[in-house]
Amino acid sequence: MRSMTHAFHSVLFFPFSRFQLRFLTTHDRQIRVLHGSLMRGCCSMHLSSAFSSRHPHVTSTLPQLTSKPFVRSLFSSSSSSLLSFEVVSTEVSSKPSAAMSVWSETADNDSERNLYPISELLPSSAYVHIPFCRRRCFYCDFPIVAVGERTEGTSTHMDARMANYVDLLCREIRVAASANPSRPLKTLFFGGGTPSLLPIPLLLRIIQALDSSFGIAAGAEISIEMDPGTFDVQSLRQTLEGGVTRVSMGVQSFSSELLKACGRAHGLNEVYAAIDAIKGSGLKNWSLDLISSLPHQTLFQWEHSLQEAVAAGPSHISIYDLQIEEGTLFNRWYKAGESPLPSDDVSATFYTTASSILTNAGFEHYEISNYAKEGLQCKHNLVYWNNLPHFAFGLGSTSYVDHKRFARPRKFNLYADFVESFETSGGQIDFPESSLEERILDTVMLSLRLATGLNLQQFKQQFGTTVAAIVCKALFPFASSGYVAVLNANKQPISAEILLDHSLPLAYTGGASLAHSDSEVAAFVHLTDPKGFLLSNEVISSIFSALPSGSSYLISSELLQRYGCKRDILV
Amino acid sequence: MAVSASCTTLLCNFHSSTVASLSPSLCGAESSSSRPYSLNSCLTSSSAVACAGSRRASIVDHCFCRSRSKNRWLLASSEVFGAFTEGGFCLREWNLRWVVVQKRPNPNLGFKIRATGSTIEAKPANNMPNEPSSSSSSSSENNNGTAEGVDNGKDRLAKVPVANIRNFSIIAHIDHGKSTLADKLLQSTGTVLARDMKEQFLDNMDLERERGITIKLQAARMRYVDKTGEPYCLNLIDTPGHVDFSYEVSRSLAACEGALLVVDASQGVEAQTLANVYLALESNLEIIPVLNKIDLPGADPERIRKEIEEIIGLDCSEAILCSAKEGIGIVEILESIVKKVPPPKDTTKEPLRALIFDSYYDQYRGVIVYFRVMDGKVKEGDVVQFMASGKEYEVGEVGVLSPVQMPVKELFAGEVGYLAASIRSVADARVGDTITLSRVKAEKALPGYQEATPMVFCGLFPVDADQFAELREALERLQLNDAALQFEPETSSAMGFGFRCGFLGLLHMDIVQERLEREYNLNLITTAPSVVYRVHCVDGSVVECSNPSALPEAGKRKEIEEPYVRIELLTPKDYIGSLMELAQERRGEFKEMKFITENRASLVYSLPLGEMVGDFFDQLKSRSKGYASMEYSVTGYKESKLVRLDILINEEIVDPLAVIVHRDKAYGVGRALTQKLKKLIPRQLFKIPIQACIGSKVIASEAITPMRKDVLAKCYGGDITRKKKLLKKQAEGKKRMKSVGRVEVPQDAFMAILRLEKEVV
Repeated sequence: MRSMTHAFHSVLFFPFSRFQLRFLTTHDRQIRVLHGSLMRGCCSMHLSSAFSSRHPHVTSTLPQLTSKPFVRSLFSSSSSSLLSFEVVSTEVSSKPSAAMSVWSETADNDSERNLYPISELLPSSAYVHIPFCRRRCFYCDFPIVAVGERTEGTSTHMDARMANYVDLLCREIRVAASANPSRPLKTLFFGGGTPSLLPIPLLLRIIQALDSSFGIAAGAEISIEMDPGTFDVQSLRQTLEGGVTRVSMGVQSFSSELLKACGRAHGLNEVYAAIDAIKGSGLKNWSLDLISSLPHQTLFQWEHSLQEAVAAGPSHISIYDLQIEEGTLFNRWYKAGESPLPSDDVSATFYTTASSILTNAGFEHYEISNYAKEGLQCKHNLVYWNNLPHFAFGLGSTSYVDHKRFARPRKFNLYADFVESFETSGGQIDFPESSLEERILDTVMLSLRLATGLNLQQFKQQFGTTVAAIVCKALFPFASSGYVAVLNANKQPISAEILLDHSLPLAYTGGASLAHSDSEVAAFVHLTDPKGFLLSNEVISSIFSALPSGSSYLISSELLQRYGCKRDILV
Repeated sequence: MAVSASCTTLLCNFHSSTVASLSPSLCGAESSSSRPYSLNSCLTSSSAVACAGSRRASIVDHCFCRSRSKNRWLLASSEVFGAFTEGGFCLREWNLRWVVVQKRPNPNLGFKIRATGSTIEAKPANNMPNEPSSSSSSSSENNNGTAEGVDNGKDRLAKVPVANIRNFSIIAHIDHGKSTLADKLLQSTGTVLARDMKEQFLDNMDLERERGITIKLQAARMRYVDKTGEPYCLNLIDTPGHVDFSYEVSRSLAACEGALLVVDASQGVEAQTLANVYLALESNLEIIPVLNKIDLPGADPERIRKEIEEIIGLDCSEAILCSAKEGIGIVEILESIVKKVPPPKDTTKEPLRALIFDSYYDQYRGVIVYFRVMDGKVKEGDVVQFMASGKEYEVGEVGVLSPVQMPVKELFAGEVGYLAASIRSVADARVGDTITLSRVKAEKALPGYQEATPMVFCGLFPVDADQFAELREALERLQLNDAALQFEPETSSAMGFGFRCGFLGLLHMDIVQERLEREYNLNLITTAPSVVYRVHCVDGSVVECSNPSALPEAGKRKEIEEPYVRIELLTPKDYIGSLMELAQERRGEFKEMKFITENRASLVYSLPLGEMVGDFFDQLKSRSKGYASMEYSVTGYKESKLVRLDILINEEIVDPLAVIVHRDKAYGVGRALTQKLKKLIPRQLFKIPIQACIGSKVIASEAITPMRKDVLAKCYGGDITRKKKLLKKQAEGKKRMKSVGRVEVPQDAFMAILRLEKEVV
């Protein structure tokens, strides 16, 4: 028996007067039952059966339930690896939905089981927004600051402005690090804007600030977005020497008319020069962005762009179907799906073309818009899609720390004010935590973007059987018509009918051998490529509409009243 | 408490002519500026005024009042009139016993009414109809002329001999100025003081005033003292002007001995003028022609005089030229009523017979019945019987309408008034019924009573299924007041639960729908209106059917009959062509055409009612640039080649979209509907055929290709919240979809297609 490496991180408690905790251990895959009773504000637990022989008694005192029902209670225990446990109400169990589950993880990098800790894993990723661009592209609605071309006349002013911004960034980084426990950063992403416009010394200052505040783990992925025409082999080498390990280059199109049509600040020559520079630097881990469905774009042009992209030899390609965002020039000029923009059917063809060309070229279609050579997926972006916490710094950026999904101001002055008050408050962000309901939606929405899809077992453990059953039921029509695939724990496709099995037996997802029954248990659902990916909104919004709004389906209001809790804090 | 000096001055400035009558009832206003103005001394009379002096004034619809004794806020709604001033305002109210007028620093910014916990913002109205500046010049002469008459108003409850009673009504086409004339009559006889005057006093439903139409009848008792000093009691019975309510018109005409025929001096005789004049002639009324709006530049009284003589055959040599708006000719009208309209027969000794010409439901007092005593007398405490319904009630209150209800002891033959007897529903005391005493019953009821029969039907469904119960309650409450409204529950897979409702006609339907939406805050979908078809089945039975989806199957039907109307269109000759075209398109059968004057023609068609329930009236107006008018009456049933057109979405029949159409039109309608649906239904995961069928025969078909792309390309850390919002919105949209089999159809699509049906069917 392996001893448990990590303590329980959290126990999500629920004001039931009596409850059971069901434990699932890695050792013998048996469910242990722990009986507990909860008196106002105090909880005591008794372990039963075999479990209790070793640990006859665990008692934990909980803070006042009314003050914060989401109680973090740290248990120190050294039993066998504990995969999960579930709180099952015994006395107030009129509704199965009242079952809430809590789980904790055993090991940090338990990738095989694809178990991410839901909440208590400390952020080890950071996004840094560098808002400067030479000009605003016609489709872009990002928080950017257009600074024009660098000339002798403008460069002093520009440098001062950027240095000023980097100062703010570094201040924000330091305060955030002092206020939040964290681990050394494993992924770091410089996005923009055009981060490659930033003079290298300033970039290094940011990296140093992050390193000194959080620490940067050995082998961390440090990505930077670069635009053609803003760097050469020299500056790229310096960037890499500064610690950057990955480049994401915004090419968007291999057609000079289309580059012009979407207002890019560079032409085709700069694109090829930039590719040569990357090749010259010897960097292998780099990504190339393309946009499909541009105005007047033909299938021929699109195929050409794809072939050129493959020929450039990146390890990662992102394909973005053009989205017309409000407030952009494109929004003023065009309407989605109407000429000169390609119709939805043509866009769909672009998408499937990309999928087949890139898959044939050895890329794995691992996310709706992303393709990567094996092992070279963007680790930072996976953090988003796995709904893991991450820091974010800079204008308009969104962090997800302590369950607070907080977006910083998009205007320069307001951002400066924010940093100011962030400092004065000692790093406190006065912003509500995402509710349980929101977290369910986030999990569904983000995980279905990935080829691996939604881990049903984990989802069930996180959010309960009822919610999982609703999701499965909503997925069924899509699964039976080929938009969604259902896999067992061995990643073998199984029949869609399984989704209608309300009992959703708990599958054991680790270990070498599968019991026969486990092979008939739905463990993963994912959108099919390209059919399902193309209709991801339809699938996801169907799940959304199937989920009742409000957290009423999780917690009955009488219970809340009985314990004097407000619904919004019970999340 | 003394009347403050500024108060009096102000009133003098406002309404120089009405001060005399007001003064006795003027109440005191405390002049302390820091405290609210309070009125408590003389609210026993029907009016009270408090004011704080200033120059500017306007009428407000709402203000807040507080009952002093209970310290409770009361909503003083549109019944309260305040003349706005800087720093305060006058207030007049007759229902509240204690009124506190709160002083506000700047009333022009609006002020708040607090009532039962809710707060309503009220803004002062922009103009005041009787503001001294606008009315003094035009009406000063008139005011002087009738100042005496105004003074008589306070004696209007006094009894006069039966020989001095005159009961009359006003008949006119819409917009010919009937309500304005009525207003002026009330004003110049002092029945309503100028200060209290709302425009179109008798139209007291918001909807009526807004649309400029009279829906429910009202009555007003006035006192008029003629030049010889003889006092008369004049009862004006207002009638609705629209054909849908012609039954109610005929009942109110039956309660009169005379009628003012008001004709617009520029527009001349219109279809409804004719319809109502014929009704009046049938009731043997003395008709006094009045040419209104002579002040308008386009007025040509001589031409119109000739027109009336030619068309109606009425002697117009003594037609009165008048402008109700400007107050011209009002005295002449009053004189002529007294002179020409015969008095009622004095039959006070006979057993009671009173004709109900209107009734309405009051939440607190039950049904209030408006009636004309034909024979006998009625007083409080009498036990009366309604002869048609057989119901008996004890009279709790009798009174006259002047125009507000004023209780009196007794009403005699010839008089017009109201009674309240805790009657539970208007169905117990319907318009046209005869009231008699249960102890001394009249032998025979008054003639002409009819049950109201709905002619037009449609389905009403709440947009939000949760509102079904509210809809039922609202319909029940409207029905209390509107015996002609019928409804029964209807269920449909696509629309959920709703009601199939029957109406007298199109306007009635419109009005009910609008009142439901406005007064009861319901959000409704209405199906295409249909009429009652009479289906002769193979087995010899006859089925009446108003719901297309309930039509017996084709195999069981022998023939279908549909109601026909005789429709008369009056139009300037320029539009004859386009109106004939319209009538022909609607399967109209030409009956006759005659030129009633050189420039105007009357077209008579026999037309299926079903063809009229759509947008016929709108078309008539638009094709004649608004000049044509119409009138119709149902003539009977006739066999037609009708079919039921079903709409299938993904091979499932959608019941509420089924329509009954003439066979020749089915193809066009089918094509239009399927094409529209194709546009309205969003693409889904599979191909959706949309078909229009007669029986099993597909006559039009479209298909919606499956959706291929709906994806958010980018989604990174910063996008999550925004992208989730988009998806949530999409999810919300899904919840609002109604499913037809596997197909999700947006609610809007149903509404749009139902609108289209109204146009094409």
